[in-house]
Amino acid sequence: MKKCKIIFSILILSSIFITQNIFAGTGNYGTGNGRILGMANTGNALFAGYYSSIKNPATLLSNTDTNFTVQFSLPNLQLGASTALRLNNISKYFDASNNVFLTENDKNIILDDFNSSGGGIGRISSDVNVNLFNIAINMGKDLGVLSFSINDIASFKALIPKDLPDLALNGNEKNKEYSFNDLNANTYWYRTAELGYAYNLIDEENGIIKFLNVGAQFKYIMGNLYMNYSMQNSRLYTSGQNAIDIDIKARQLISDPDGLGLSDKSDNNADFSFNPQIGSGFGVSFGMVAELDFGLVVGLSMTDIGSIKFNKNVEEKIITKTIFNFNDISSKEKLDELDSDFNDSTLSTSEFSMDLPTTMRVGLMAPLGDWLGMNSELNTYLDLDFGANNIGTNSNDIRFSLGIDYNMGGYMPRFMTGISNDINGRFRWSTGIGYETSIFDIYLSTYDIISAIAPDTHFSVGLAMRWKI
Amino acid sequence: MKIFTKLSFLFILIVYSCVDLPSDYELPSWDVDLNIPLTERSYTLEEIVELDSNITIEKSGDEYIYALKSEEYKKTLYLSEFLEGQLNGKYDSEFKFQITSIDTSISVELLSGAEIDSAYLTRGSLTLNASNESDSPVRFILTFSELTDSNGDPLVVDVNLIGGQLNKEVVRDLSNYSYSSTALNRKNLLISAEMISDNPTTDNIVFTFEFADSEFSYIKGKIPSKRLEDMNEIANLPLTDDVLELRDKIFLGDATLELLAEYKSEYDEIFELVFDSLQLTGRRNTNIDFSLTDLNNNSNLGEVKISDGIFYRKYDKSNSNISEFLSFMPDNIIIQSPIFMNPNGSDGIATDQDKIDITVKFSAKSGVRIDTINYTFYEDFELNEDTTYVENIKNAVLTYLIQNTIPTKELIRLDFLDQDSTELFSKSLEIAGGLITESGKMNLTPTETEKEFEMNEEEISLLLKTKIIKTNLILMTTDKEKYAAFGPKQWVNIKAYATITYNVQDL
Repeated sequence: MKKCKIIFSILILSSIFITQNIFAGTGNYGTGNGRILGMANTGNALFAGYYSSIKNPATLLSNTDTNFTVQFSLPNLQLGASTALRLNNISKYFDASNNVFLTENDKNIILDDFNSSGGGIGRISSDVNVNLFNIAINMGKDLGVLSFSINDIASFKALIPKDLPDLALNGNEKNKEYSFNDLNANTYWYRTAELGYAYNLIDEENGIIKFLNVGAQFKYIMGNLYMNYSMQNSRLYTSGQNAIDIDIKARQLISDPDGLGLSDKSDNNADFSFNPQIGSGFGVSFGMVAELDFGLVVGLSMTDIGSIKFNKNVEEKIITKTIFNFNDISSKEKLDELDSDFNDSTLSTSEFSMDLPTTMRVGLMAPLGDWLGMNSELNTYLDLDFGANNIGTNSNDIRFSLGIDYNMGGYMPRFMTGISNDINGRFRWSTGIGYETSIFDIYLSTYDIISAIAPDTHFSVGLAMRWKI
Repeated sequence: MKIFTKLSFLFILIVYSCVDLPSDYELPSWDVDLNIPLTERSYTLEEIVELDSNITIEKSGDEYIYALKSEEYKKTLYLSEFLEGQLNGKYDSEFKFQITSIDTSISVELLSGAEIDSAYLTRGSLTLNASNESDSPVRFILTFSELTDSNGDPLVVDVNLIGGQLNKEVVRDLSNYSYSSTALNRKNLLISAEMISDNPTTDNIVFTFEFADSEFSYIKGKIPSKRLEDMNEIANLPLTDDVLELRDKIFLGDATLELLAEYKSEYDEIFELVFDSLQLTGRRNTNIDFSLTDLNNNSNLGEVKISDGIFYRKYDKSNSNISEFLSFMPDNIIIQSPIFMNPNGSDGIATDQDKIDITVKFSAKSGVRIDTINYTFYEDFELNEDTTYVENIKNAVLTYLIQNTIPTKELIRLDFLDQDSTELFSKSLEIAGGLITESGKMNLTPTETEKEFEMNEEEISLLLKTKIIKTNLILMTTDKEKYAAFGPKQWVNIKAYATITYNVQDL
């Protein structure tokens, strides 16, 4: 319970500083803000000002809030973490006070966590997004909305093929090949200066399209760190008579600032700077959102098109080791071969580009409350997010999400819920609650109520607060 | 409503805050089955057996097989005995010359029967016994013109006899005299006599003489046959302890013994020599004998005649029991035989440097039968200081797969002993031998042995206390009744691997 108190305290304190962010830089599986997280991180077709602009820049301009307003937030921090291993299993098996011995059943539980991940790849990911500054000025529907923000984005993602924990827990089974082809660890850190704009093209009472916005965000990006370690064609095979083949081919690509010492090229003796800028780039997001005459809203956007070019302390290595038919541990020659260093060859790479986590997003919003003649607001949202690459929390695996929010009006809070698949391919049931006034609103959500009650493989919380003038 | 809203917030916050993650993380422990290789090696006999002067490879038909070859055990027999006494003879029939005879000569036959063309004496003596039957003094001079000293002067015996003097004895040393036959008959020795007296009478000078202790360094002629001292030579076989361990356990199937006798002389006209009734006897240091016999179990191997300066005889399984003889592994081989020189009384040349070099050597091709050789080794055993990796092993199943073309099977027992040599536990394994082909040819088709033994947790813990490993190896040919061929290309392949249940902790 001590930990409960600590986390509770952190949440209370963070409610002061943590608000939603208005940048779109988290890929199709990135953590959303409190307004959209509770309804399964939908929002491609949600008119919610800059709450939804993370999904679609066109939604910066609301179809209802057309007066001049200025929205801003204090510097805020957003954290998200996802792991292939369920959090309750981490608590159960990795707590030092438990002194756990894994039974066969325990092993199966752990391996099931990995096996149930998408494609048998366990993903461990986390991202840290710091909004140093953001402001949005709604100049009315004739002039549109202009926003500006400065953000730091850091991401870590590890892909662990299920063969790796299988090997560690059960040993090397005979006549079985363990593949590490998709083993990957990737981390990066960059800073963006973003200028966003949304404009209303159509606003008609009658017509097939009642309301149509278009929007775009332009980013200047300063690259601060990149490191990627990936394996290809890597395997371990044990024959029926225990002869072992080991084949490892890995690629390591680093560009790091002086003082960090990750690459051989960076200066270990230099002082570390929080604004190192070892690369630069540009990015753009654009989208449109339209409300049809029977209230259905359609959103379409492409976020984070662009790249960052890293050109300082760049080090690219190809690391290989091949041992064929290792069959004699009593042979000094063979043991020397096993003990020998990996063969690494450093390539003459002086610069490289990192793509931004480009995502295509499609969303629908259906006003069920209106259609059912209810006095209260009841909307449902259906999003499909297609990752164009696997950068950060972006993934080629399509994310499906279905969300609902309900607001009885007056002083009653807004309730949100939804279902979706996470980056490990698991089903998530999101929920959240919000309170809205004329000068500020605040939302608190979780991406998975099940893992919140009984911690699972994912832990996330979104808290959003916005001041409106 | 406000209360409801606050409660809603509070509920969600509390729920969110109850993620009970550990404050301290530690990897759990678990058991993992590791399939690891231990060894896979092939050995050919070529790699195992080091060739030396005793172990060689010979081609037999279309294949190469091992052969054992002994050193050459040499003995030298000098023939100077043959040159002894060939001039000896006691001429005790009285020779009489009237004192009136001024100059006369006689010819006497060599009593040894030798017919000498020429010879060099290294030693010998002439003893003259003379009597004067007259009353007057007489100077008596005997000249042996065929015996000359190093100056070429003949042997002269000059004796002054007073009147009536009887049995005056004169001895002359014949060392370094040469003999050269000038008589028409080389059987005879020519002697000239001269008597000088102031009163010649019809009285006689009476004398006898004797050649004794004669020994030649060189002799040419027709020398009568002579039985020399019987040969009784001992050739020591330097058997090492390793070889002695194989005694009575290893049997040679195709052994040979070669006997070579060479007459060594600087002259070509050598005399014939005969070893009569040759016997070869193997003798162990414990005085146990085993004779080389012919196929009729006769230890008299017959006559060995050196007529052209050389004699060679090979004893093999076609004419002897040589395989059993050499399998007996004697410490010594005793060569015994009477020796007859010039049995036919022929002409020839002999010197005191003449000798017979007798060489004995034996060999065996790889038809070998091994009957239970037992080796025991002790090796100190000490694990590394860090024994954690052994302590974490809960169980180990070791599988070994051996392919073997070498026609020996092995029984191996490993005893794991503590510092007081008390047995903690033991393990045994058996390796099947390669096939022995009916034809006795080298086998290259492997037999396979696949077995496993298990070490449980208790035995693994005892391994930590082990200080000595006692290895007992019992080795025998695959079929103890058959002789097996061994060749350098025969091989054994040893493959071993293990499945270890390892307790992973504290990584």
